[in-house]
Formats: sequence, structure tokens, C-alpha cells
Amino acid sequence: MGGAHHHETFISKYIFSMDHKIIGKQFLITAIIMAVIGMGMSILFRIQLAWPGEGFAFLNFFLGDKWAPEGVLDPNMYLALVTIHGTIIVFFVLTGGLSGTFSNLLIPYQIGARDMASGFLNMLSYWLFFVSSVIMIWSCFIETGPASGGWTVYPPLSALEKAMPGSGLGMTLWLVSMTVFIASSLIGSLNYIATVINLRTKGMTMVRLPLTIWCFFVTAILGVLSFPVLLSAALLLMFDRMLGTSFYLDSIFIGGEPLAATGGSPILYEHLFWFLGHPEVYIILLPALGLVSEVVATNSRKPIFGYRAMILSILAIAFLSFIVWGHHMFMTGMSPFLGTVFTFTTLLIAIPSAVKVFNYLATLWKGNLRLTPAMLFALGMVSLFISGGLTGIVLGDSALDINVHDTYFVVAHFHIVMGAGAIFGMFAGVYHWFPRLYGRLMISKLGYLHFWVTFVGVYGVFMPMHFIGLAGVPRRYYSNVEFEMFQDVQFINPIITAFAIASAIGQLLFIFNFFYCIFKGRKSGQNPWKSNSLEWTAPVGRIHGNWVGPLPTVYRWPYDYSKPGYEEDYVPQNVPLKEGEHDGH
Amino acid sequence: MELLLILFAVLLVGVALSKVLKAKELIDGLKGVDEEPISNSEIKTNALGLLIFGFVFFALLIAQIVGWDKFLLPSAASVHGAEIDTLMEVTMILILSVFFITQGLLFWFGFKYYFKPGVKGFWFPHDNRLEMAWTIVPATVLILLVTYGMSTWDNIMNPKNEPDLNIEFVSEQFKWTARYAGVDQTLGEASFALYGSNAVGVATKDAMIKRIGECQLSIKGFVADSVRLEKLIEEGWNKDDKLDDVESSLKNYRANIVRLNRMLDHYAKFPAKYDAGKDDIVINNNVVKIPKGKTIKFQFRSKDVIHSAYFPHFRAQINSVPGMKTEFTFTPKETNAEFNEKAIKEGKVYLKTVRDEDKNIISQVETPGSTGFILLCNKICGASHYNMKVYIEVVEEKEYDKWIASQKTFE
Repeated sequence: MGGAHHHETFISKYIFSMDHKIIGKQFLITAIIMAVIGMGMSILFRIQLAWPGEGFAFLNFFLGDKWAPEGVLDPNMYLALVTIHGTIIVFFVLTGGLSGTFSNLLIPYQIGARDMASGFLNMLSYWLFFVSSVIMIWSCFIETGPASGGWTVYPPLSALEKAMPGSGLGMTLWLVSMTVFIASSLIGSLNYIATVINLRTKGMTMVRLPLTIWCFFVTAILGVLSFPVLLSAALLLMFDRMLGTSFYLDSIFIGGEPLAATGGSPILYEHLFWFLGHPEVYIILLPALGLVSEVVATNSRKPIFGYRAMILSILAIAFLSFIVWGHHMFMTGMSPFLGTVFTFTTLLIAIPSAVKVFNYLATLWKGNLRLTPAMLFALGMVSLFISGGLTGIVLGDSALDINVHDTYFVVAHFHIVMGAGAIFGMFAGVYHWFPRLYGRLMISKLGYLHFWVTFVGVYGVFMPMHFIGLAGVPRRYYSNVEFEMFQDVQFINPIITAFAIASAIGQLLFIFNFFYCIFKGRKSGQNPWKSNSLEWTAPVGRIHGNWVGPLPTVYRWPYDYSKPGYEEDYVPQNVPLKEGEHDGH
Repeated sequence: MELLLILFAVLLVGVALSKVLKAKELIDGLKGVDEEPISNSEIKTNALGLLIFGFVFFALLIAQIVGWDKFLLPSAASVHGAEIDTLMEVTMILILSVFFITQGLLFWFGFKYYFKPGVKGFWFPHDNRLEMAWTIVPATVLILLVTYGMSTWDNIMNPKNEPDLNIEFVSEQFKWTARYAGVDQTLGEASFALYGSNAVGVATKDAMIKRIGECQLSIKGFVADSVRLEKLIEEGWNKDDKLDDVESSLKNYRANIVRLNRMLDHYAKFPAKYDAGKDDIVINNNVVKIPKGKTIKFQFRSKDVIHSAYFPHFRAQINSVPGMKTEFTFTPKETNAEFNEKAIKEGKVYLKTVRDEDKNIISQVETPGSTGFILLCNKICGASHYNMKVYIEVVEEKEYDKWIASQKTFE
């Protein structure tokens, strides 16, 4: 079908498109909208945490008299905002948005394929994602408010309507939305796996794949193996809520009544949830690391250091991520022996992670760094990965976890490493591949400003938060001043909120830059970053089938930057090897 | 209105920005600016930015570590807590060293190797010895750390001594109720079937019989309700939901009576287990006293949802889960007064807060010392999750004996 155009209407081209590039854009723009909503929610509850009990007219404006009477946030709404903020950012922005955008855009381009293995499934995956997003947002507008049991929605809190208003219809919608989301994610992942295995162009062996593709590929496998477990957890929870079963309920006395339903265990839910929940961290992180690997190598004008070690690290992290879920449950009262086992496996993950960091540093060493906005975000991601990864050593050690479990130390840890870290990876990806998406460049000056505001903002928010945690302040508290012992660290909260508001406003720079440059950006040319991978050998613009004429043939790995014997400092993958030249790694 | 104005302002700024950029684009077009997507001066500025950021970042972090130490928790008030503190110190030194080295290199490389035209990167695709080194070194360090951590964990969670004192907490939305084991140091059987006026559900024979009576009374009420509702529904009123609720309550109470009768049968076979509850002491006022230097086992049950008992001064935490019994054993090594003195010695402070009748803060003074021991909820449990506290007072044994003797037993 190479380059042949069949008749396209507006609807088949932009709405129900089966083209991987359009679907990638659809995911990206949906994710941007969801990110704005999720971030906005965090600002609303950060204001309560900084100035507990004070009235703000605009809280009342957004939430109305029921949820913010006289401008003071209601405690139930506080928990609802925390819950939906987490759900949206973890699942809709960093899982659906990140993988959906870049796996779709880059897998066919970088492996030299005309499109995904199944265009129809790909379209279905996006539209299920869209439907689940709509249901999740809709759940915020019902009378009893959205789900409020934290993004992990542990039963019995989430199972019993009498436990809190958010456990009513809001919780049902949460479960329905997540079920649809999981279907979307599974369909998408299967498609990515099939495409990477089957549709690589001639010469594109597995060890010539860019690390981005390796990361997307392994991420998809993680998703396929772990999301079904979350689905079963969610379905059993639905049964407990609607059909009177008791998979997660036992010995409960609520609303003045002893419940007839007994024999279940809330801990069962936690095991099922975290069996997804921990791989989920890497479902978020690996694509970001993949994008960063590509951006760092291209802009360092050097091959990524230790390509094979990087692949092995990815595989090791992926494997280990399945046997560490228990470190979220050290304090549940499960057998202390299990705690020992999970401590061991958890700290093992630090080894491949350390290898990755050292390899990035070695890649930068003696490079010729083109500090584009994408490159700065990539460096920022490495910095965040180090900061957040190191505090993981404290939390993964069960003995230390006793005193920091569920405190702000944890909040700081995971926001740095998987929240901000993955967002930085995503920003690096958007700035770097914008020319591939729209044939134009984003405005670099705004990009730089955006990076600095965000980087300073993220550390300004989350570095001080560690200290609040070390002072013993628990997370998910509506107000931190009810205990006299926490009064002394309260002064840190307004500082954090100020940084949060500043970095939230800073994101307007990105949003303006993004939408403005779709239409008005400088024309980029075909290969603006002088990159080696195949997506830059395809002509600018959206061509059905990606390449005019035959697909490119691959002769070398994607990291021949500054290779001795070549005048230019890059050699694209489709350039044949010279006589006597080795494929260089 | 405010919001509309803000939105309008943002829009205006956006429009202005786009006009400026348009003008710049036109001027650039006239000047014939080079075709590179990024200019060298931009790269240089940002390289410098990385270096400066690195310095400021490190300086602020060190300032926080030094300056905010006085707000952090004083050293542990329990025997096992001291082990955790040492492990934490070792871990912190380790991760902070790695942090400063790797972040330092990152920012330094970002500055030092910024793009210079005409220069090529150094061809260095891999080096087996280097990669070996930075796999084996972290692996060794981590194995040592993990071994240390696992042995500490094992010591804490599998205490060798039998506890001197058994105390149980029952968590519910939104408070804790304590039960002391009494003279026999055995907590009598308890069950959720007996909650109600019986705060922690102690299952003595009398309590069970009393509870069956209560349940029968409730059932009578619900039966009357259901008859009334059925009549209304026949008359065309929309009361189906209400009727469903009543029927589910009936089911709950009938099941509870079956459960209580089964417990009474069990009582007939093993009366001692149940009678042990007679001398138990229920403490309902959010203040518990424990003797210094004794091994104390806290057990937890939950009435409704998952809660978590976190008592940070003792370095202790465990979830309280419906349908399960969890426990944490520890030995307090300082009384409240001794702990406060230690906190002063360690340079710790707290904000002494005075409030008026409406709970408004009148004054806050930075005071040396500590606010005393507390047990709080650390698992999201509903609207008032943020306000579930029990004060723990560690006292000398004699004082404890006197206090416990003055408390009322269950029966």
C-alpha cells in the first residue's frame, strides 16, 4: 500500500483514524487535557494543606457551596481530590498518555513499518481510553462526589457505601472507568507486542532496535501480564459492592450494624492490587527511560554507553518488578518472613537501576552536548531518577519502612521518581519528536523557560516534603495542624504550595508553545536533530504508510554517533556499512 | 468573576506573546538567521544554568538538612527503635554520598561538555570492565545493606521475649479504644458480633446474652418497619429502596443472632477463654499509660475499615484490619519526662501552641523539647482520618500499677 492514498473523510482521518500517527496525537492531546485536570486538582488541595481552614473564594467558585462552603475545602472533597488526582496522573496521563502517545508514534517509525499490526485494534484502544477518561471525569460531577478512598481504593473503605460519601456511585463509576481503561491498555499492549515482533523491516534485528522500542516492548509485556490481575481485583470489588459477596469483607460493624457478609480478607485485595501496582511503576517509568535514552544519545552526539547492558537492565527491572509488590504491604500485618523476602527482591532492583544511571553518565562524559529543551528535560529526568531512586532504598528496607511508611517521605519519593520523572521523560519526548509529529519546531526559548520553571518547581515542591515525612507527618491528612507535634513543620507547607502553583502556571508556557507551534512553528526539515533512527528518514508530513516507495533497510545499530571514519557526527541506520566496517557495539 | 478576569488576562498575555514571536520571526527572516534549530548561545546559557542550578540545589539541600534537623523526631523512645535509628543513619550517609557524587557529575558533565561546533563526541560505546565494576560495587553494597536491614527487621518483628503486658486497640471511624488484659494478662475472647454498647466487643457470657436481647429488639423494630413499608408500597408509594435497606438490616441481625448462639455453644466447651474477659479493662478516653522498661504487646482489631496505628516516637507502625488481629511488640525505655529531657539535649524543638475556645491559634512559641508520645491513624479511613489520636504516657512501674488498679474492670 506504500504511499497510496485511499479516500479519507474528516471523520475517518481525524476521529476514527486507524493511522498510528493520528492515534498517537489523539492520545497525546487527551493526556494533556487530563494532566491539566489532575494538576489543577493538586493545586486545590495543596491550598488547604498550606492554609488549613482558611476560606478562598476561588475554591468556592470551582467546588460550590457543598464541597467548599465559604471557600473552605470539605474533608470528604479533599480525599476525593487526592484520589482522583492520583488516578488521573498514574493511569490516564502516565500509563495511557505516555505509552499511548509514544508507542504509537515511534514503534512503526523506528522499526520501519507502515503502521501498527492492527490499525483497527489501535483505534479501539484509543476510543476505549477516551470513554474511560470521560467516565472518570463524569464521576467528579455526581452528587455524592467521586471515589475518595485514595488511588489504591482499598476495601472495606471503598466497598462500603456507609463508610464515606465517595464510596457510593462515585466508586462504582471509578471501577467501571478502570475496567474500560484496562481493556484499552490490554488491546494497545497486545498490538505493540505483535508489531515489534512481526513488522520489523529488513535488517532490523532485536539488537539493532533503539532503546525506546525495547522499553515500549517490555512495558507492553508488563502491562499484558499485570493489568488482568487489577481487572480481577476490580471485578471482585464490584461483586462485593453490588452482589453481596464478601471477597474482601470480614467481621465488619458499620452504621451500627454487624454485617452478615464475612469470610473475606481486605489483604487479598492489596495483594491483587499491588501485583499490578508495582509493575505499574515500571509501566510508567520504562517508556520515559526509553525516550530519555534516545534523546540523551542523539544530543550527546555519542553512542549510548553499554547498549547491551541497558537492554539487560530493562529486562532485569521488568522481571524483578513482578516479585516486589509486597514492599507496599510491609505494615499490613502479613507474615514478617514475607517482609524479609520482599526487602531482598526490592533492593535487588536498585542494581539494574544503578547500572542505567552510570551508563547515562558515561554517555554524557566527553560528549558534545546539544542542550536542546528535550535534552534538558532528559537530564532532568536522570536527576529525578537518581533522587527518587535513592530514597527508594530507605522505603524498600522493611525495618526502615516501619517509621516512614505512609508518611510524606513516601509522597516525596514517588512523586519525584515516577511522577515528575516520567513527566520529564514525556516532555523530553514531546520536544524531541514534535518535528516528527507536526513537521515544525517548538519555540526553543519558551521550551528552556518551561524547563527551568518546572525543574526548580519540582524540586521546590518535593525536596522539602521529605523533611515533613521524616518529622512523622502522615499522608492523606486533610489538615496537618491537629497534632501539636506537627505544628513545627507546618511552615514548610506554604513554601511547597507556592512552588506548586508557580510550576503549574509554568505549564502554560508548554501548552501555548505546543498548540501555537502546531500551526505557526518554524518548519523543521526532515531530520532536525541529525538523528540516526529510522523515523527521521521518512519524509516530513503525514503520509499513509510512512515511507514513499519501499521500506528502508537497516544495516547498523541506531547509535553510530561520532563514529570514527565518518565526516559527519551521525550515520543513520539505513546507511550501508563500509567495507571492513563493523556494526559498532 | 475573578476567574473570568484571570482567564481573560491569560488570553491577553497569550495573544501578546504570539504577536511578539511573529514579529521576531519576521525580523529573523530578514536577518537570515542560521538554519540550526538551536543556537550556540542558547546552549551556552543553559549549560551555565545547569552548573548554577547544581550549586544552588546542593546548598539549599544542605541548609535544609542542617537547619531543619531540630524539627525532626527525637531519637527513638523504644529499645528496638535505636536499632532502626542506626540503620537509618548508615543508609542516609550512603544514599546522600551517592546522591552528591552522581548528581554532581550529571550537572558538571552537562556544563563541561556543552556543544562546540566542529567537535565530535568521544567514540566510547562500551567498556566491559567499567560496566562490571558498576554492577558489582552497588550489588555488594546493597547486599550488605539488605542483610543488615533484614536482620534488624527480623529482630523487631519476631521478639524473643514474651510480653509483660498485653494491650489491645480497636480502631473505628474515627477513634481508638484500648483494652488492658487485666490481672490474668489474658485478653478474653471478643467479637464484632458484640459491638454496640460494648465498645470493643468483649465476649463474656453475660455480654453475649445481653447482645442477643438487643438484636432481638432491633429485629422486632425492623419487622414492624418492613410491614409498614410494604403497605405504603402497595398504596403506590416509591419506598423500594427503604424496604431493601430494612431487609438487609434484618438479614444482618438474624445472622448475628446465629453467630452469638454459636459462640454460646463454644462458651459451654471452653468457658475459660471467655471468662478471661471479665477482668479486662476498657479505656475509652484516648489516654493510655504504660510502664517503662516492660515489654509491651499492642494488638489491633478494626471495626469497620482498615486503619493503621503509627506511634512514631517508638518507631512503630502496624495496620489495623477488619477480620484480622495484628500486633506490634516494643519496650519503651524512657518516661515522658526523660524523653523530653533527651529531646532538649538533642536540640529538638516544637511549637507550643495556645488556642482560644474556638480553637483559633492565639500564640505559637518555639519551645525546646517534645510534645510527648502519640498514636495516630496512618491509613486513609474517611473524612476525619486526620484526627484520630491516642496519647501514650510512659510512667514508672509503680505509678502504672497504681493507675491500672484504679480502673474499672469489664465485669
